[in-house]
Amino acid sequence: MNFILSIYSAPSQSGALSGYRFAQAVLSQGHEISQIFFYQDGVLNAYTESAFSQLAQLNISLLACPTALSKRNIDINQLTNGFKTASLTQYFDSLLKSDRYVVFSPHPPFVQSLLQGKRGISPLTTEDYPPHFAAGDYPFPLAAGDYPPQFAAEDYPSPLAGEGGAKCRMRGIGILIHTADNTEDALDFILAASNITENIAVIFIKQGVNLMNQFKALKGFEINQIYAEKESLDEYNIDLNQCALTPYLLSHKAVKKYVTHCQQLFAF
Amino acid sequence: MLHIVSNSSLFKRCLEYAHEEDMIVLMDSEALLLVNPRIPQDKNLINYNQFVELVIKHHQTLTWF
Repeated sequence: MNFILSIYSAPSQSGALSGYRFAQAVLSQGHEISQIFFYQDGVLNAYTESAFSQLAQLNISLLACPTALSKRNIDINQLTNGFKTASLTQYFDSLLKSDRYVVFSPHPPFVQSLLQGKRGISPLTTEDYPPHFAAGDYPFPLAAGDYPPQFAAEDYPSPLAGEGGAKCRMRGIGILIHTADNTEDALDFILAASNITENIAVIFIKQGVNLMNQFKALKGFEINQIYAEKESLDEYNIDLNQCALTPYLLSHKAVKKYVTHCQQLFAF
Repeated sequence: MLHIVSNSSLFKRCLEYAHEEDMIVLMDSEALLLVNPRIPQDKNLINYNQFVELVIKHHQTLTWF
């Protein structure tokens, strides 16, 4: 099985170490890693001596995003041996041919705290978890004009919340925008993906619905599959009349169903 | 789908979007925890080999960060 890994984490951050350990486990099980793509602060791994350099000797391509390097004032001539550059577009091209991919982002220590309630973070209690959604919990009815373009009428035999809801033909890239932390990178990411495939869905959920005006460039790139979660729009009192984008509305339940049909899925 | 959560604050968000048949891996540099969204209070330590097997078993991965 062919893997692609993405490292978004600087060498000093634990995400890079997790990615390296994962790579070792993949190789020890006899699988292949065709490339490891370094993005965001992950490109700092290409600038300093890191454990990943050893993997280049195993014919694994270590590729750093030139835009991310440039944003951090790193010249491509400064890359550590074994690292090369590849654009996000090249990354997507490879990604769609891979069997599996995993993104490793920066992560603070928290697992032990969940187990033991230490470090000032209380373990989650049952009350903290959202209820599991039963059919009918989200009866939000979509009007016919709200149906996303790639859905056919027969795909809606019942309201989306019902059993046997939409059968989505989406097999492309799905990108969930859920925080304000990575807006610029997310936009770069989407526009690069648009060079590879027209089948891109951008779905604004949670705090991400506040950011739609920052993504108005999507219109110029003919990215038409733009969605917003109805419940999130309500939660943040978003007036779509003031919005630079015209998203299709999906219920929370429809978002959950929709993303299962994406070939590759990312969250920013 | 296999959800990978790298920040405790995103665990609840992940649970909101996870299907009952999905699985969740909570990840930091010290440990990996496997969580079934149907019984999120139960968390089981796994190793990286098991993590790889989970990625292979699930056709989609989604890293929340």
